[in-house]
Amino acid sequence: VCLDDATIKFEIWDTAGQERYHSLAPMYYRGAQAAIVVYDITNQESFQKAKNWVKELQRQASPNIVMALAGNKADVANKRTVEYEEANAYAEDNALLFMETSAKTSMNVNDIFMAIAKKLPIGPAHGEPTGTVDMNQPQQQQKGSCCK
Amino acid sequence: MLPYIAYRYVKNKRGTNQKEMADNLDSMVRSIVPEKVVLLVQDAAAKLAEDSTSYVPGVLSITEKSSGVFITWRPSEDPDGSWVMTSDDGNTEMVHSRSPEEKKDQGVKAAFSLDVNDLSSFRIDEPKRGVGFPMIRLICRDGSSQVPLYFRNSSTSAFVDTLQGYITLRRSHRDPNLILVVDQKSEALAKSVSMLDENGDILSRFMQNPYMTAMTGFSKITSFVQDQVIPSVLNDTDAVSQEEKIRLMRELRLAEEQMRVHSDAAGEFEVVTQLELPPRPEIYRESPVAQQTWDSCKLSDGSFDPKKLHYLKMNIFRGGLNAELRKEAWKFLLGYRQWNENDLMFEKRRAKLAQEYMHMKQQWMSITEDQEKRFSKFVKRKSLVEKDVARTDRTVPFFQGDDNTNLKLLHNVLMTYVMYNFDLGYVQGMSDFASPLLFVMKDEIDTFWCFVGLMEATHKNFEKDQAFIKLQLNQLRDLVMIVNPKLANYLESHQSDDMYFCFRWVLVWFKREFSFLDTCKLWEVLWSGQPCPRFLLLVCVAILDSQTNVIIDNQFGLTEILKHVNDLSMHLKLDEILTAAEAIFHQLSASQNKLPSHICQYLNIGESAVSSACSSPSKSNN
Repeated sequence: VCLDDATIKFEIWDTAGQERYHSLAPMYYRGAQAAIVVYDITNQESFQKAKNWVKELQRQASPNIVMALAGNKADVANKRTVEYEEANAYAEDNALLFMETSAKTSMNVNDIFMAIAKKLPIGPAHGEPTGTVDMNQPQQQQKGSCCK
Repeated sequence: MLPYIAYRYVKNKRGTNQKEMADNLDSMVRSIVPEKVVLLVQDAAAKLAEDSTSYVPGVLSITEKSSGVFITWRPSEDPDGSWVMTSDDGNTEMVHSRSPEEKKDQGVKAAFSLDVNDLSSFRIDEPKRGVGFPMIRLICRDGSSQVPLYFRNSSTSAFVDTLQGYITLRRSHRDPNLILVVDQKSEALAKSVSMLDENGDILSRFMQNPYMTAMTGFSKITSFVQDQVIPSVLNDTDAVSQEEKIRLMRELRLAEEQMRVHSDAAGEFEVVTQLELPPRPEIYRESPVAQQTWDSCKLSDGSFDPKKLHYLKMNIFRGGLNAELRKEAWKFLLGYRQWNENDLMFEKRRAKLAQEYMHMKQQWMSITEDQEKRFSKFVKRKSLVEKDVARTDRTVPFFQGDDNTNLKLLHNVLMTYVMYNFDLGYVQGMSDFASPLLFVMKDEIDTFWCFVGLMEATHKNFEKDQAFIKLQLNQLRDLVMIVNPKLANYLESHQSDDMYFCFRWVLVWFKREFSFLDTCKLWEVLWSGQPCPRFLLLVCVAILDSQTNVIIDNQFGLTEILKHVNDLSMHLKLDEILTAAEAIFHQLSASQNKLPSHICQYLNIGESAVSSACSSPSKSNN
């Protein structure tokens, strides 16, 4: 994405969603500068799991990591079980960026990456490449491939 | 040079803490100074995947901008939408094989623009015996590799010369095809290393003579010295007096010797000081097994002559199978049909298995929505299958397009497997194993029973605790320690000796690393069970071995290694890797008397071979 006159290149890694591949995740987030934890707004369990991911990242990832929380499937808000206010309050308590998104309609998808880009420390004279890990929850529609 | 000089000026200004002024100047310079293209290579074609013969024509440039110097590659705008197809003998022809949409998409994905300061190294391959084109592949500091570029009408020298105007380049000592960008800081470090070396051989002994231990305990200490002590000595080269250095090195050596004695006495570690493997033999791949060879091993009733079975399997190992033979042969290799089963017997059994399949398929198909409300375990598996089928191999024509009936078949096979083995259920990665089977069998029921056979050999990969994957990764590490101790040591001192970056290789047998057709070939080679069980691990060793210089000379850390290994996907040359893996097997096999016993066990060679041959897990290969 372009931010003012700096270009920020996102290197996006998506880990396998299924629980048994959890042990792979640290390898991906250890060097990451940003992480998006995604849950499904129609699924309360996925929100609880997202909180666990946030806790794990706070404990194990780089202390300077920029973390965002995304409540996905905003296009089916009528089936919502996680309230916006609830998630927003949690995000504020933990200093996370927060947006409700829709991968289907791409609502807020660009915006959340832009918001992350703005929070990243700007590297030396040239735009530094940036690593992020996209840790989709198993319950949630994944765009990436499972073992990547 | 104007934009670049302006850039340097701004950069230097920044360094003097006059940030505000520099920022103002920076934006001023940006708006005034135009970009300057200093090099344009018009005919630099990108090869998107190793097995394909199609190249995307494009333009490579080096541009001075106010923000730095950038190397850029973009697919060229060619209005006729043609692709350049090149065969290996260098003949070219133009074909209109792809839709402009698709072409644009793939080309744009491969396009890149990178700051020369982000470049870590690049590989240059000159054409072999004058055939083909020179190739350059750029590798960045973050471990990522750009798409390989082929210079179709020009030499690479102009590119290299221009680059040298901005950064210092040095050829790797170990690999003449690898050109390293010299970081002035690290160069100074290298100098002090060689200085240290003159004072005592401790460093070189640590670097070149790593101890291969059955347990990692002992080598951990060595790597601690490499990791912590030596850099701390090096970093303060100026501060530490000559005397101090010598004293420190004496201490280190003493400590090292004590450790060795100690560990020998304790007998806890199997210390192998140095194992010289014989040189790698030259191996050639054979052509794929043809129908004629296949039929010549059969008896008149359609079963296989047991005396010719080993010969046949060796041939499959050395060359794979002709594509049209796969449909029949995979049934044998996967244990769906027994080698000693005649046509009549198999057809009878096949009919029975077909019934069994329909029965299991009915079971999941008849579960109503109402039932699902109280059957969450089933629903979870079902939704996993649906998600994965929708994204498995969708770029392969066989699975392309919405409403593709083959997707439905793949879905049915995997859902029925859930009923066949509900304890294991569906685990991500299984769809990768099933899709080539369906592509070859073109039949739902045959695919299913072949899949059952394949799962027999691989289901442990999918168990919850992942213990089997971890075991294989440990074995891989042990093998690398023997075959390439330098790399093993490097990985260990960069927190990568858990080999997790090879997880995907082992999990789905390289399905994600090779093209669809190469995967088919690799798998049948592995299913032949020749020349040893776990040949898969030797394939891993061969690939890692080939990347040793890239990893070490670029000084990749954990994240960069992972990135580099992931970027190898679709750019690996299968035949080269298979010959290397086979050569490594012969190296190990020839030194089996000297190998640690656990290594012999993995490969079923040496004294342990006889006993473990009977309990070989590769049931499907018999």
